[in-house]
Amino acid sequence: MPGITYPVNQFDITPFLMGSSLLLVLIVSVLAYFLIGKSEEYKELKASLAKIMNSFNELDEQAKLIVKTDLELNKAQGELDRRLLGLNTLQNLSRTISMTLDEQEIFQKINRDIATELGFSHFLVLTYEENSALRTRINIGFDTAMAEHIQSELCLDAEFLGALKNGTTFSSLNASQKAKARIVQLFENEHFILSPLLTQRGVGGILFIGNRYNAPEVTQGDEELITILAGQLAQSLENSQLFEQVYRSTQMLETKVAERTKELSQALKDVEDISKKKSEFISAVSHELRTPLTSIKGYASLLMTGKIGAIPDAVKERLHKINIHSDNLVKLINDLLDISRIESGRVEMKATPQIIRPMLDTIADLLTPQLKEKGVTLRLNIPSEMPVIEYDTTQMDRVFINLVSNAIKFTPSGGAITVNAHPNLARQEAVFDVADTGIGIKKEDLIRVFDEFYRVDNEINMKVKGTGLGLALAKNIVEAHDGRMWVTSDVGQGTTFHFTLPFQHKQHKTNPATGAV
Amino acid sequence: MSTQIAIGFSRLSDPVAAFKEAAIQVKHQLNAIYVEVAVVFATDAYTSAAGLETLHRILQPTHLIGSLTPGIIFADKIEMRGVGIMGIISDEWHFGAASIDKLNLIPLRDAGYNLAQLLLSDHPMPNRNACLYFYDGLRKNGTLMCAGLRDGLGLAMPIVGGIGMDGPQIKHTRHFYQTRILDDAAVALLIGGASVTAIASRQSWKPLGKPRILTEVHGHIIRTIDNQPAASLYENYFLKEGTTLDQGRIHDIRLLYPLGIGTQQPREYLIRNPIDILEDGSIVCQGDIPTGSPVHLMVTDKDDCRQSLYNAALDLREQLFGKQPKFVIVLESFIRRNAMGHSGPQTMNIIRETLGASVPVFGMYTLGEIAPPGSLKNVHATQLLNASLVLLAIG
Repeated sequence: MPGITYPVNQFDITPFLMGSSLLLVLIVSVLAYFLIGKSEEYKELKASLAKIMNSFNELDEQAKLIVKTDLELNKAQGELDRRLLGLNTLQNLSRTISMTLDEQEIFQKINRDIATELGFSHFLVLTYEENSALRTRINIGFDTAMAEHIQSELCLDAEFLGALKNGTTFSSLNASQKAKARIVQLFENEHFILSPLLTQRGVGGILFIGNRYNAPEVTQGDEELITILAGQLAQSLENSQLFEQVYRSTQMLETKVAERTKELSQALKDVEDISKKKSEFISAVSHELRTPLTSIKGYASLLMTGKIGAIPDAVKERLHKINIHSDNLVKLINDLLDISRIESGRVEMKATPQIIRPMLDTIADLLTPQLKEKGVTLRLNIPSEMPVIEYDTTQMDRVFINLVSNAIKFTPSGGAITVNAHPNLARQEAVFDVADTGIGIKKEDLIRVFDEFYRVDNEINMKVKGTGLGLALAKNIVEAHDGRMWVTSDVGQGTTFHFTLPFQHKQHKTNPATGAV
Repeated sequence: MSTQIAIGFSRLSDPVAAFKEAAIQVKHQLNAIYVEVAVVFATDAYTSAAGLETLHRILQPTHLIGSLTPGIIFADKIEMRGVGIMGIISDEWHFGAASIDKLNLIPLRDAGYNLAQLLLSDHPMPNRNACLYFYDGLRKNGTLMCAGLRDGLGLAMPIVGGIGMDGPQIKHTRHFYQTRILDDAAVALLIGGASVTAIASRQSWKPLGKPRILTEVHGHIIRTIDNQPAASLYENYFLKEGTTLDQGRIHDIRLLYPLGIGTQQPREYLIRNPIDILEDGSIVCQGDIPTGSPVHLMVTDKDDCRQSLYNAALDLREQLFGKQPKFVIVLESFIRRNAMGHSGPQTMNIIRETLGASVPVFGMYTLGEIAPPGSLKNVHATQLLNASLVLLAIG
């Protein structure tokens, strides 16, 4: 087989190799250029990234500052919110406790809700008793045994109590290390305010408010708030104690008044009993006296007629005196009997509707001789519109005669006696005055002129005999008509007796509801 | 055809007396022998079984659900202590209610599904319009519960929920169902009939500092951020030199600064409350968190909170076509309350100013909220929200 031979230099690859080399060099150059470019870009990117990372880090640093500021703002906001809530609570509580004067109610108003709104979990109020011992009044958050322990420990801590008595408020913010340690150990509250309840009489008690661990720290604002609360509480407690004192005093006074009233009622009853017995006695004695007196008077009159035998003038004169004295005695006894009957209610006023003027005219006629004899004028001022009045004519006759006779007796010659009358429509009664221009009555005698048998000590009474029963009888008769009688007088100017009479006698008054009599 | 709503409130010291007073207020306003529904919000001192029995004697509710809350929201005030009752009588709406307890013993998604089935059996009518529910979300993954409920009720069902809590200490929660007080439970109310539902949810948080990456997440537990223990995020911002971040301080901080997880949408964040920090530095949240997402510390202020409420109220008004709703339920995060401070009560006036001067407003503070993000049009994305405001209006 013939071999095929190829000429060695049939194809010259040198140009190809040279071209490839050139191409390769070109490619490498381009790549190198590209890589150099990319490397530059990478460097730039890396530098940019580093810048961005720096910016981020700076941003982060700024964020830390923002967070710090924000935290502080939040803290301030939280504190502000707490203060606002606390102030609102304090305001409401102050209003509530100032509206009550009951100590127990004041303590009841302070409950767990109040403590929570003030931002605290523990609340203790101890007050001083009269024996200077401390007593727990409000306990929120402490168990009973713990509260008792605090109470007993505080009682023994003279140094501590002494500081409180000086008005010092302790708080976890400002207390000395020693005091703080003592309070934390005693109350087991890390954050606290301990304030005295200061009253005008000194320290009335202690207020403790606090939080255990992991709670917000006490602030200056908290301290101020609780000090105000302590002051408000102390003020309210003091007010309630003062009220309690006043209340007790009033109660004691009322008890005393009741006792005295009872004693006076008993005394009045005794007086009434005595008065009744007196009236009964007078009545009995008067009856017993009148019978023999009638006999004496009868025999004396019989003797004077001379039917039994002639009697000498001297005897006749004595018999005449016996007669006069007997008459006086009979009058005295009759008056006494009337007074006792009226007082005991045994005499019924036979009231009938009357026009007063005719009765007074009759009395004036009756007393004319005496008036003329004394030279005294009697004036009757009775208005024509005077209404009809219901009274017992016989008894009222006696009243007017007694008063006018009395006036004649004490009015000097040339004087005047005036009887005035006017209606008091508001009170539905007639008002009468019997006024004289006589010697008058001293002030100290005025209060006794209506007493039975009382006769004012003056010259006229010494000369003119009397029983001292006339004014008493007149007053009794007026009062039996539901009227009133009183006297006014100026010494040397005259005396006026005033009395009233209801238009309608009580026995004839109608029931306004039924119209029945 | 009418529906009447009444709201009663009491803060009497005795819980039974408080329930009685609030129930009597409702009864007087409604002037009815019994109510169809009673929704009860009570603060910690008022979780009283005797109180619930008193309420039942007075109002005889066919359905009662409720929750423990640190504060009760009304149109013109916020009460941090007491018991509030909203009573409903209606001849145009119908209701179903259910509860499920011992959540620790069953998978949460199953629990949500079971709750939905119970609700449906109590409300057999076809036109169901909204579901309101409350559940114990302390240390539990609320996303799962919500998913289970949606499995049962359907993805198009408007669901609004709240996680009850006792107060800033976040130690326990309670729920009310008929005359019972339940622990570790969920309670729900289904509303149907001739009603229109509107839902608006808003958050007002803004990112703070540089973004970090969630490098390891297990469900609702964040293990690491930037390959560091998750808690280091907080330590980085709040730890003073030479100190450690104790649990008490973390507790305070987490109530002020939640986490914001970046979403696919720019400037939109999924907010999560850290509810616990484990010994290894992991942060426990209430809902699922996607791995690899950027995360920020978030911050808000009063103005943003107020604006978000106003925006939510406006949104409701648009959804209701300007019609005044029969009532508005407010579920507001307790964290927002912290940010609002004492100006919260005045801010609530916005709801009435926007929706009508006589709209009954009843709400509670929550530890977590469940709602469609934004408004009802996002009902398909209903999920656990945190640190948010949710308004539910039925008109």
